[in-house]
Amino acid sequence: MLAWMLRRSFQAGLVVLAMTLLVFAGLHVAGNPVDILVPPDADAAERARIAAAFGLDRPLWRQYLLFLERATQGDLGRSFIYNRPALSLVFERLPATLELSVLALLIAAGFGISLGLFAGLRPQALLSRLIMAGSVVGLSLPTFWVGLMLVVGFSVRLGWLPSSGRGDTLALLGVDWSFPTLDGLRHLALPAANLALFKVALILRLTRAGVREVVHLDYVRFARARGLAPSRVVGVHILRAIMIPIVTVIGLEFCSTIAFSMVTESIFAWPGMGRLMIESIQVLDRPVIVAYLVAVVLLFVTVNLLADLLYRLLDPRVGPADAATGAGR
Amino acid sequence: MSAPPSPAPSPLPPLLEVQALRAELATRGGPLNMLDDVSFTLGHGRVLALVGESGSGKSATAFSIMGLLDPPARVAGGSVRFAGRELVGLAEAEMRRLRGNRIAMIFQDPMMTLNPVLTIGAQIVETVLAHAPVGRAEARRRARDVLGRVGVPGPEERLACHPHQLSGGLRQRVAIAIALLHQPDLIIADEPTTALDATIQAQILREVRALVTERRTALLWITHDLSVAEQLADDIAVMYAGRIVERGPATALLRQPIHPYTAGLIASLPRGRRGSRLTPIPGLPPTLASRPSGCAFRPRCGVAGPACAADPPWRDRLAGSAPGGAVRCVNPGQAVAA
Repeated sequence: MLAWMLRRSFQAGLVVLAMTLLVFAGLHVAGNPVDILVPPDADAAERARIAAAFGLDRPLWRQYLLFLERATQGDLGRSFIYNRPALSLVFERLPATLELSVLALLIAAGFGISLGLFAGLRPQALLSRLIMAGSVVGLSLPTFWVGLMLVVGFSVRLGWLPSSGRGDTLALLGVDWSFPTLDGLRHLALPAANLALFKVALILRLTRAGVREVVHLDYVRFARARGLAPSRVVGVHILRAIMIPIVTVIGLEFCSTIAFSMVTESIFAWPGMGRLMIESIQVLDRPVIVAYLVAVVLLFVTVNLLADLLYRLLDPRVGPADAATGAGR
Repeated sequence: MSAPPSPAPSPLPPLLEVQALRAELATRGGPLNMLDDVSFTLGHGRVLALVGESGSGKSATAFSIMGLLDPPARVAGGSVRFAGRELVGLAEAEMRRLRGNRIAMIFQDPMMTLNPVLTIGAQIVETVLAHAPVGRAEARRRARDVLGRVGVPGPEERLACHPHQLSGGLRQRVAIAIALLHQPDLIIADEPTTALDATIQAQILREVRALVTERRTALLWITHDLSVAEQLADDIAVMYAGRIVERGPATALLRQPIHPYTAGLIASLPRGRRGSRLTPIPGLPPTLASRPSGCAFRPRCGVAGPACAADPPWRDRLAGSAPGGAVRCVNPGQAVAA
């Protein structure tokens, strides 16, 4: 178990290393941050002074080595724009993204699993067919378009829900959160719904497929032949059996929601990490981009690790050896 | 004053009375008959073996009795009376109260019948709690006791095991233990020893027989194996293509089969001298969609004639003797003479 976790951490380290290398090379090709940082009327001396101040006058490989050296001490550099440590900038924005993603995922899991169970248990029912047709729509509509439509519908036409910002926030554990206040929840509603739509469709299809598969298995029939209540047959015997793929997808979706919530955050002016990332790319603020990506990679690794641990709780047949070699079931 | 000796059949109605049971499978091309006119009775403490090839409707009969036939299959007619109560059309909640309680079932493959992600203990305890108003501690005690009764060694430790940690034989014992939990009046066993190796099979047959005799539990034992039926059953019913074609007391039926299909099954058994040839039944059983009218065995039968194109009527197996059983064949007796 310990060896397995060490190996996972080592792999994560390699991924981070490769990613930083790519970001350095990629941004170097994309443009020179100095062009953006210096005022247009600055002379060559001023230009050189600013480049030197940010260490941008040195060759790229020197810049990279310097970055690595500082990174080992937990310093991912200072933002060119804000002149503050990049990591703390990212972490400041993390709670907003986190609460949005978690809420979206709760909506997705709640609706996805319950609708999927229904459609799987009663495949012939009219409602099931409607659910399945709706899921195709949910999977195929682009997120940005749905977001715009939600704004047009619920904010502009009906005026029910606000379309931008976080609303009132409440400080918990030293960070501001929107979800504990009613106004914050109203602000969360549209972006969370927008993020959840695709996932609802995904999870419900996955759930339905799982149910269709296990409902005819002997152990489900045996559970019924023992006279167990339907709630127990469905809630324990069927649900536990189909949970592994669903947990995997929820884990991956959680990561990708956090990593790629830029579109939704931009549409709803949600001050999360995604927006910070977009802004930083526009001004080639390399330290912030790197810090953001490091945070996201670490998040992916952690969530996958948690999902693997959860498998073990869900299915006793998954041994440590399976997980270590990556050979799933 | 001494009571007059009562005749062999008890005056009580039989525990299970299946009458003209019919089951259909809905398909795009219209319903197909899975079961057609299946009738038999089973008394308290008796063992009836339902014998037939795969697809002959043995399991469909079992699931019809249990009310567990899933769409697109359904019971289309006939009656199943259990302890005087009609089960066909009974409300699901009522049916659930009987399942696992008064009528228990054991499945074929012990690798598949227990939920792989739940412990043995959890699965026994939930079955106790489904039918008995007891607390968790008492349910657990009963779980331990019943495992001990079916000869599972170290029951206490086994409760914490998951199914994959147990051998196939042990798993089937667990399934049998679950069936015995509420001391049912009837156990339906769907080929429960087929997936086990021969020594375990013999052992389990012996033990099941003892457990059933002890409590006067009736047993409907579904098997494709006539030799299992011979060891275990009081009566045998032979199924072919969704119908019972012959039924009667086990020893009489095996010694003197009347229906050509029964005779063919017996001839294909390895018995008698070593090295003697087995005689297979020619051809294959018909599929659900291609069952011939009249006697479905007709295309494979050595003595079939034009009369077999009509539905054969039931007649006594042996003329004159009442408890000799019945057969559904227009040429009774000819196959045996051959």
